[in-house]
Amino acid sequence: MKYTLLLNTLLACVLASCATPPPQLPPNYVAPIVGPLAKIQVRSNQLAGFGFFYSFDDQRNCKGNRLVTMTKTSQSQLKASTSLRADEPASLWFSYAAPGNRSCNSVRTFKPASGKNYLVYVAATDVGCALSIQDITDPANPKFEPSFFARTYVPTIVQANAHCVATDVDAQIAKARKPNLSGLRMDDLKALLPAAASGNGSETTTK
Amino acid sequence: MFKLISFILLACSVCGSATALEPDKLFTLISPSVWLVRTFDADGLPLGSGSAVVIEKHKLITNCHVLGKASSFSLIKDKVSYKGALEEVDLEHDFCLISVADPHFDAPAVKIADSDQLSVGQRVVTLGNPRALEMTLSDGLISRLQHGDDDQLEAIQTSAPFSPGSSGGGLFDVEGRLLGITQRINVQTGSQNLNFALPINWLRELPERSKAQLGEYYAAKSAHEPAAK
Repeated sequence: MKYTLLLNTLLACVLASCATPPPQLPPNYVAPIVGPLAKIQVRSNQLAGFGFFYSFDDQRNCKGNRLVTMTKTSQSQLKASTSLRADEPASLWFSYAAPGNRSCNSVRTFKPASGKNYLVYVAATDVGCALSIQDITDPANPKFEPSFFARTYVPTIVQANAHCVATDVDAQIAKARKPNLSGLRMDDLKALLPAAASGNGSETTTK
Repeated sequence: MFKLISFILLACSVCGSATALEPDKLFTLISPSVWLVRTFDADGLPLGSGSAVVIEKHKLITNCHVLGKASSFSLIKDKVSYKGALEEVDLEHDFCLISVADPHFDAPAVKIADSDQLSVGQRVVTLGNPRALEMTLSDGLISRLQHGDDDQLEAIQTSAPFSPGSSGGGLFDVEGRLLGITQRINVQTGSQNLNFALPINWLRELPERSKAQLGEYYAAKSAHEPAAK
């Protein structure tokens, strides 16, 4: 009896490992219908391979991806319209699988405003993936959305564990909204910077 | 009576134009205050160049991007060179205040205008050092005033041409008052003479904004670096 049970268990285990299910697409994104909402229109360039566009259950940490749209064939473009919850961070992920096992990803977080209409344009080129967001509420006067910033996405073998590197999303959005006309980071001036008020003398290299 | 009115009108028109200087006079007035900025890397090798305008004794304003990646910089005019130091930084507005400690540096400060009182069509001149060509004067109009969503002036678009190296130079009215700091040009294919200066009124906010940005930077650095032993 004991022997039979052991055999059955082993057999069940072997069968289970043989019957590994094929990679599955995540559940479809379900657009919210109540509360403050913003619309997005998703468009892409002509993709030689396959493109996937996701949103997330957990928008701050990019966990629980939900499929908004995907290309049905290669040599096609992404095209979708949906809604996002407004006035809170929203994360969007463009993933691209090119012929020849090459792939790229772009994840961006921004804060859509209630009643606004956004164009999310994604592109895959030889140099990688890009994702831009424009406010097209007034189509004659499109404006690049200032609140969006790039996320560092950590893919994992088990997709459910994939996530964005933790960051203070609200602070990043606020920071992204401030234009930086110099195009510099403070570190680009570090050899010249005046001393900190606290007397961090090691930073002073003014001559 | 008619003669009196005519005389008053004539006198007023003369008064009104008396302060608008001819370009050569304007150049003589403002050129001592505009300097070439030359930057150097850690090995002392030349890195880049730009311009700067004297706004008070020993103090000049320039664009921060002129100083990017530099280890040191000098202010140069007529083959005389002074070592510069960075005093205040506003990366978001691309305004950097620099100083020259050398007591021999006696360049006069320019007069500063109110950049909230500009008009499209107003005649302007720029003075800077495009491609390190020292003291290049050009003229044009204010072509457009670019306002942000909050109605604040964000940029002064001008037809007065400038080029790389003009960054940090001055946009002046015909009385020689500083209206803005020449910052960028639109080089997209098909663009012609789309040049942008930053409003000089941003200078008023520079001390506070610099304090905030440097404070944030040093705070972030100290949070990520072990304390010095």
